[in-house]
Formats: sequence, structure tokens, C-alpha cells
Amino acid sequence: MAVFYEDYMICTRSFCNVMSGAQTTGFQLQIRTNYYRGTYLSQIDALRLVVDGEEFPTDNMTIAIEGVTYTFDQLAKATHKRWFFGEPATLTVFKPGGLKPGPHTVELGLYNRNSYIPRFDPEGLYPFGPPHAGGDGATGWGKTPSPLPLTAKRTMTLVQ
Amino acid sequence: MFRNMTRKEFLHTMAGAAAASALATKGVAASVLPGPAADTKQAPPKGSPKLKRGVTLYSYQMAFYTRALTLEALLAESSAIGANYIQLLPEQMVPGFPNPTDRFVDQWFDWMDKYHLVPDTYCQFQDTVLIKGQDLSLNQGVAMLERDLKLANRMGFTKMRLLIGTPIDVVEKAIPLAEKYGVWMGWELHNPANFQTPAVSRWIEVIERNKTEFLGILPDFGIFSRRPARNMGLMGGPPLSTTTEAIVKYIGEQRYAGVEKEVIAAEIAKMNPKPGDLAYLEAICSYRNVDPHEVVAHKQYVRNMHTKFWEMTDDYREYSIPYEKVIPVLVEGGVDSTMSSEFEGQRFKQIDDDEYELEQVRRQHVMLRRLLGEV
Repeated sequence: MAVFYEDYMICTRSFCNVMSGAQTTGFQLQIRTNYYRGTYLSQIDALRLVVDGEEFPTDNMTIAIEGVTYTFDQLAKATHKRWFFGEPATLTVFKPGGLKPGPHTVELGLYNRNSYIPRFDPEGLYPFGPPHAGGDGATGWGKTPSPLPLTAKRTMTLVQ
Repeated sequence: MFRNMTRKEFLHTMAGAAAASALATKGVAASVLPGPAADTKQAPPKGSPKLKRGVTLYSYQMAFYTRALTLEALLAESSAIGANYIQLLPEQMVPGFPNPTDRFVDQWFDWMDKYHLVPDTYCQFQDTVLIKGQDLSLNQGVAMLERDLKLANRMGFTKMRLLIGTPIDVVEKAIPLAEKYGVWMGWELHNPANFQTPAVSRWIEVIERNKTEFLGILPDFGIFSRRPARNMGLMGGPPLSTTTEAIVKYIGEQRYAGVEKEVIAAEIAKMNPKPGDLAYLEAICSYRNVDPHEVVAHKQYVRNMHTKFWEMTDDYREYSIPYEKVIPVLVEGGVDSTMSSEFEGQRFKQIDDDEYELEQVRRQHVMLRRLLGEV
């Protein structure tokens, strides 16, 4: 989907390291969806997070939305839970030792799968681009861009 | 109404209204509040009563997204400009969607009373591909639509916007539900579709076969667009670097004025055009540029329209859509519909001003009041 509101996706608020007992096990930051409807969690198709040039795979993080924490595998099945437009969600990223206090450059890519344009239009009823491909009238919508562009970027200070 | 009022009486009225506003409960404040809506109640406005001004709160989405303004503040703003017919994307602005609390719904009706607003159109999104690579079955689709019809009814909406791709079989099966909940449904006719798009004749066939007044078509004014908005770049066209600034400007102005492609092509041939200029002419001429008389010809199916816009200029005109040529045709043709102002410029250019969207909608309503003969 076209991307808007990139300037607002990464929040400075709540950016911090996380502890487990006496150990620093990772860090946390809040992000907002840039999709104007908000999303069903099952529409969150792909996310990329890069901090100071280091990419963190989604296998190594959780996302907490409205107080419920999910792994990225669980999101695909959450067809009835929503991420409200403008409401921050919390990413918790596994990184032993955490991030150093001081400035960090955070980059984010988020892809919400389009879920309302029909996958097939065999009768050619609609003017949806890209052009129909194949005899089944597949509309070509809903494919994840690869690689997913990092559209949001923010430099912010971590205190502890 | 204040012409013969003394200063003392005026101040007394305003103070009374402020107190009433603070205490507003259902049905109490309507008779005492000042403002455009109250005036509307006392004396029907001049103008074109069949075309009614409203706004979709989608227009104010950035102010809501950043939490600069609350839902109530947006409703108050709508009231202040006389855009009394409210369109909403409930999933965008209703906390707890699709199951808001009774407390929220009570609050919603209190706001409608307090600001003299009418819940007009509910924007529905049929998520047919809720699960990746899988389509909802017919019955699952109808259940999703019923969920929205129920919530629309609960919030007092009498109309529902369906997206263009909402499956026709699902909608047909939901007609008895629309009738049961008292909610008219309209498929949105949105650029690049037009009245010749094959889906449209299928929609009309379904409406006629079912002899229902609860199903129709909801035109989006993007179909009247004649050139890309300036804040969208040369959308769908060539890279700016391959074009000549003066020629791009010339092409845009000529198309906006309704000049034919061949005439423009002959003129720019004399201006030493670059390849990008010619590509731009092709791109801009692919805009549908629908004749508003086609809306008049389908008026029995129309009850709400998206008065879409991207950029209101300093002289209160829309840069891409020639409203001056559209609204008079709809008035003359007797189109009976609410109009939901839909500002979409914020999605292409982020501006560091929390109330930029509000100013844009205000400018559009100055234009609409002029074209409707309200002033």
C-alpha cells in the first residue's frame, strides 16, 4: 500500500532498554501504524526494523497492541483484533545488553496487506491496476514488496 | 438575529448559551445554542435545499492521528462551518470498533444533539481478504456486512458507503438486512472507474431486479478531476525531470479549462517540448473527466456523494476538480443528496500545522456555499 504519515510512525516516547532481573535483555520502542483505517492484526504483513544500521528480524521481537503481546506468527491469525489508527504499539526487541545510552537512528518499514480489493476479477468488472494477469483474472493485489522499503526514520536519544 | 439586540441582551444570550452548552444533554441544547446550525433551524437557508452540505471526518484524519484534536473537537468544527451531515469511518475514529461501548454510543448521540449534527453516512470496508491468500465465503461476507449495518443503525447512520470492490453477490444477499436496519447502501464510484465501468451496469441490474430503495451508487468527485493535484507530483505521469515546467503548467491549465487533447498537442508542438511533456499530456488526458450530466442521469440511485478535493487555492477554488462546472449541473438536474467533503491532500504532503486540514475544508465550504447559492 502507498505509505503516508512516515514522519509520525516512530515515537520518541517510551524508548528504553528492558531488563529481566539484573540483565538488560533488549530494548523497546513505540510505533504507530501509518494506515488510515487502522488495521486488523492479520493485515500486518511485514515489518522491518533497523537500528544504527543493524537489522532486527521479527522472529526476535514481540508487538504489544492494546495490552496484548503477540509474536509476529500470531498476528496472521488475529483476524478480529485491531490496531487503532494513531495508537502506539510497543515493539520489544531481543538484544542482550540492550542499546547504549545516547542517540540512535531508527528506521522502520511496515506493510499492511490490502484486504478489500478482490484477488480475482475474472469478468473484468473493475478497473483495478496492475493489469490482470493470467486466465483466472488475478488482480495482483496483496503481494508483499520485496525488499520492503524503510520509509520511516528518526534519530532519538535513549536514556537508559 | 442580533440586529435589534442591545449589547446587554447579546452578552446575556451568549453567556446563557455557553452554560447550556456545558450542561448539554440529549435534546436540551438545540434550541438555545447560537451558531450556523441553530440559524438553519430557525429559517431555512437560501440555496439549493436538495444538495446538503456535510463532511467526512476522514478529512481531518491527520489531526486525529496525531491526537491534536479529539473526535468531539472535529464534530464541533463540522458544526461551526455548517457541514451538518456527518460521514465517518468508524474503524478509524470509534474506540473499540466494531463493538463500541454503550457509553460511547450515548456520548455520540449527545454530541449529535449538542452540535446539531446528523449521522449521515457510515464508511464500510469489506475486508474480503481478511486472511492472507483466502477469500471470505458468501455467508462470511454477509456476516461482515451485517456487523456494519448493525453498528450503523446503532449510531443513527441512515446510509453506508460500500467500496467499489465489495462483492456484488454479498451485497445482494444483504439487501433484506439493509432494509431491516434502515440503512441505504451505496457502491462508491471512484476514479479510475466511471459510469461505463462494467461493474456499474451489474449494480444497476441488482438494484432493479430487487426493486429496492436501499441500494445505490455513491459518486466520488475524483471522477471529475482534470489534472493532478500540485501536492501529488505528476501522479501516474513521467518524472518531473523529463518535463518542461512551463509546458506542464500550460497543459494543466488547458485541461482544467476543458480544452481537447489535439488542440493542446498542436500548441505545445510549437514550444519545443521534451519527451516527458508529451508523456504528461497522455497521462493527464487519461483522467476520466466524467460529464456531471451522467450523475444527473443516475440520480435515482444517488443519496450521498464524496465531494473530494486535494487542494483549495487561496481564491477558493479546487485546483484539480472544476467544481464551478459540476455543482450547477447537479443543482439544475435536481440531484437530491448529501455531500460529504473529503479532503485528501494530507496524505500526499505532510504539513506541520495541526489545523491545516480544517482550513482546507473551510475553504471548500466557502466555495460550496457560493455555488449552491447560499450566499
